[in-house]
Amino acid sequence: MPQDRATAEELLAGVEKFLRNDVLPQLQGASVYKCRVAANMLSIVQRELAQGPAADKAELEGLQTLLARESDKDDVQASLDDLNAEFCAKIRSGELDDQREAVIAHTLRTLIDKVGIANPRYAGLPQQG
Amino acid sequence: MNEKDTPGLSDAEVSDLLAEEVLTHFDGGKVENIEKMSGGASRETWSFDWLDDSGRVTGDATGLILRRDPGNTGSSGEEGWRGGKTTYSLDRTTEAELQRVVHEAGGLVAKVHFAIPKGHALGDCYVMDRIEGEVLAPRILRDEAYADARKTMAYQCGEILAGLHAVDPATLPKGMVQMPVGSLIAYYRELMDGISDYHRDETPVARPEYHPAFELTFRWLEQNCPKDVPAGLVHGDFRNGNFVVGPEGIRAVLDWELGHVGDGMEDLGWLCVRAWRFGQHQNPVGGFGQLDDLFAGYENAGGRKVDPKVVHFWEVLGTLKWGIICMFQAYKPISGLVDSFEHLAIGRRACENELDLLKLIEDSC
Repeated sequence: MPQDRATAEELLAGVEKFLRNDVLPQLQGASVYKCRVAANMLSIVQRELAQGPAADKAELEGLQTLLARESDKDDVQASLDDLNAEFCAKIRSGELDDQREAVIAHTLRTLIDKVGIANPRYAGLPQQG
Repeated sequence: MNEKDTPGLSDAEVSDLLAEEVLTHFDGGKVENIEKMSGGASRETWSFDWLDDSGRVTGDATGLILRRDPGNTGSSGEEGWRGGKTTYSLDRTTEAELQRVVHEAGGLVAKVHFAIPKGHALGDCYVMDRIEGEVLAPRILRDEAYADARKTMAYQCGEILAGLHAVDPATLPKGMVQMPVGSLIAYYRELMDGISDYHRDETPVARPEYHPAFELTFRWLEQNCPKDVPAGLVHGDFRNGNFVVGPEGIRAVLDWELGHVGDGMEDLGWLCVRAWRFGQHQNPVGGFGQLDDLFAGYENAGGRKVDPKVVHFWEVLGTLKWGIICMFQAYKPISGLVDSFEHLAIGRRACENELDLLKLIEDSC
């Protein structure tokens, strides 16, 4: 059932704006830092809502190709857990050593999406062009 | 940060007990200016002055420091991890003993006056000289006052570490643990798996974490492990943030609780981990210097010939370690170990380390 406006994104954006513009200027000491962290957390969730589904889809496709199978789970999260568990176990055991290039390429793509959600201003993020 | 179920002492009680202990130890005099400088959940630092009966400040120091554990479950380090079977952080009494040994060997460390073991009301703690200077890493990296210090700090770090690594292992406190590279890798493997298992099995939302770049790094570490390493004293947390700095350079090295016996190159590699550069990436050594200067300082002060590949190995392990500590920080409020919402956000920084690691292990192929 679709909820009425405001959307989840709009609610989060509203609270974030309130924290940054109204609350933050009135705070002092350790609370300033905590309030910034709180506002940043809300930005993370907004980016996750906006960019997460596409990132999940790309990661799932990458894992399916690498492992040459599809998950039998019914939703994207459970499929990702299922395939990532196998992916990590196979890196650990050395079974994917001979596919190193493809493994690194997939991991890098996934991480660029992940850091793009968690902290898009991270200086270690490769420039996309 | 609020600690759950902390029975600890109030600040006023700590002040009173401290004054009492100091007067007993120095046999009289006066204690003034007691001030709590920082209070983490598992470690506190107090500053104060002791004046003798004639009103003079003691010795060459301008004042003293109390470093204490409030006496609740440790939570800033990995020792609070429930599944952890091994831990290598020192208690305050052993840390004080280590500082004494290093001080006697001529190391840049505050002189320890006395330690109070566990079981005493004040908790596990010790009193040492207060060394004046700047400790905050971003200030050391940016303030004009430290411009000259920054020029010499990489070389100086090499010299300090060469001296430290030459300390006779036979003189070290008995409570110190051997942590050769294999044990360290196993330690962090266990920590990462423990956190991930917890998230899968013990939280209402079964959501394990998957970190393929950490897995790739563990694999790389296995394959690139240094061989035939001489064992000696390792500081264990030698980096910007644990230095007291003046305009002329480093005055003292703080925080010896992760001291252990292992490969000294661990200290050089950890100093170069990206997190300690605070954005100053043009300076790979702690955000202030270059590798050549660090290595020259180390070798000229009698340290063994530095193999940059081995330092790189330790930088990789250090970056992995930092990434897993990010996971652990988020685990603390999730599991109820501490009640601190800001730790949750740190968990989302583990992936930054994964990104860095991919580059670090690729560069070396």
